[in-house]
Amino acid sequence: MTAVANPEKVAADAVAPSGIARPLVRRRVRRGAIPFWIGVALLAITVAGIVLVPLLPGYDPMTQDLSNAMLAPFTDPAHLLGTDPLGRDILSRLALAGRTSLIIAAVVIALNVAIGITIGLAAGYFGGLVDNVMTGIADIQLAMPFVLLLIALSAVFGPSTQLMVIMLGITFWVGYGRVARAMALSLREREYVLAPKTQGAGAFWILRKHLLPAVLPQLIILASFDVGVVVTAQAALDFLGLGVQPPTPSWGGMIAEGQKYLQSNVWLVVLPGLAMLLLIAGSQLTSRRFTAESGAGAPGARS
Amino acid sequence: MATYLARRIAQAIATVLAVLTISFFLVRLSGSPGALLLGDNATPDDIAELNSVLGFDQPVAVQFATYLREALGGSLGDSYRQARPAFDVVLERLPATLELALFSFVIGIGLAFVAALVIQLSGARWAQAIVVGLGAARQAVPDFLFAVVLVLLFAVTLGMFPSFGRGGPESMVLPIATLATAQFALYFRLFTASFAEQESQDYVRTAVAKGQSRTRIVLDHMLPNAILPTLTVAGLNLASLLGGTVIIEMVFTWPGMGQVLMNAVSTRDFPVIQAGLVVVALIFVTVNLLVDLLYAALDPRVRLA
Repeated sequence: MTAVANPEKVAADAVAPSGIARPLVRRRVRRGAIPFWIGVALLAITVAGIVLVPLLPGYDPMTQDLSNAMLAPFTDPAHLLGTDPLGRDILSRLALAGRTSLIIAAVVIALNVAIGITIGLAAGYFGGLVDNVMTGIADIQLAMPFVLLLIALSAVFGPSTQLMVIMLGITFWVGYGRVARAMALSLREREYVLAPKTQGAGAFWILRKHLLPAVLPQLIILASFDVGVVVTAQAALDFLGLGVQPPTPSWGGMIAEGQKYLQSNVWLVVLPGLAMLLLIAGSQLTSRRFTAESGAGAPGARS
Repeated sequence: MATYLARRIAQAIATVLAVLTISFFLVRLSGSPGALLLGDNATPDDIAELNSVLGFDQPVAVQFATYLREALGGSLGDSYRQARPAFDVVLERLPATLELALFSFVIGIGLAFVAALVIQLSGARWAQAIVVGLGAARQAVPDFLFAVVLVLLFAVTLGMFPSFGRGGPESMVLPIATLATAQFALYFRLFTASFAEQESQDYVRTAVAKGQSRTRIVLDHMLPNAILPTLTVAGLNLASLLGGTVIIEMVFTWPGMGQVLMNAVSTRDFPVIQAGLVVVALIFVTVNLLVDLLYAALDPRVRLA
């Protein structure tokens, strides 16, 4: 069932084919310079907002003020982007939600890279049983969408941010695992890996000293693409109420709340939506350049 | 072929067994389901009694054996809240979910196939760039946000389609538009990639060298080879499509599996959640088994390997 193991990779490869019968897509050497800088600009705006807004004098994501509820953007200088149905400042809440999102994305990706690199290197280096077990786990994960798993866990423990982080932290590792495994498979025959082995180096030492430094940079490049994927998945879970819990703001949660007021105040949906798009589009445009250059595709499944 | 068949079926069974095992232990992670079900005001006696009624007081190994035996007989126990088989609770909502997922899949992959093929036949590089760009833009928008924007534009502002519920074809337009556009973006990239990969193969070079027409090369030579890999990916993406459908159901209050499962979270109806996991896994495993068999039937390299 793994004839085409990585759909995203196949798709990414389409970017640089060298066709013979009147190639449809020219080999693009300087491709993506402009989108890359647009992406950098979008990311810069997002990060600047997340860092700078808390320094503003009016920063207060939590205090409710029902007499000033549902203000439209740019009507009150004290609430630049308006207020939500409980009178909380939307700009402050967007910034705090963004910070939460980025921290969660970082933790989730770190967990996945750690799992993927451990399992992938072991599978590639040792082969045999370890390899089969890895393929087996990956197959099972494909059959269980993470939304359903998180629903099951939330039923047992009650929904929480920690639960979501753990769930997402063990969901996207397969892509990293595959790359680490493939690299380990080819590297283990190299002289510089075989040499220490002849001198009695242990497997763990070889993996840590010789394979890990070669594999890690590749995986970090892949991880850059996953920022957008993880932010998207997390937002969907927040939207369902399975992730970040109120009163802590999250973009997905703000959109779910705003959906009730679509008739009267569209800003409640539009503003967090735009904030989310800035970050997702920014990270995708930026990382595409790295993934195209390294010839590696994007790992991980989308929600 | 027989070995391949046997290995794939064994793999499929192993996956289902693993999912059954995982969903069993997920529910036991809490220790005492009785306490969870009865809430904070329950006396220890009440909790003990409920645990014993539900069989949670037995050794885990015994519980697991009972669970597996019943599961193989087609039962995951009764829903705690509705006092009828959990499978029934999930299965009666399955058609609504499959309806969304299947229509979206067929529309998305169908349009993607036609678009990719037409572009490949015409060699219109600019058209491909535009569609790929639009697809990338669509994929940058999370499905639930896209759905809310559709509701805002076409339900709230224009009043063209209902924004929630399941009734008549017009209620399906917005949810399917959400999911189908995402499917289209994914499969257009895959078909395009497949074609591009075939294009650099020697057999295409040969065909070009002997002066065959572009139409002939694309339709007769490249098409069959380009379709097959996409088929496999489509099978593997099935579970994530169903997961995505569950999320979109919540935007449109669509009475499908998503709603049942989210209700089961708040009422801690564990058998229903287990049933949901197992049903999705069964669908996934069956479809992928069929895809692989189809693949083997169509591609001699798999059959003979």
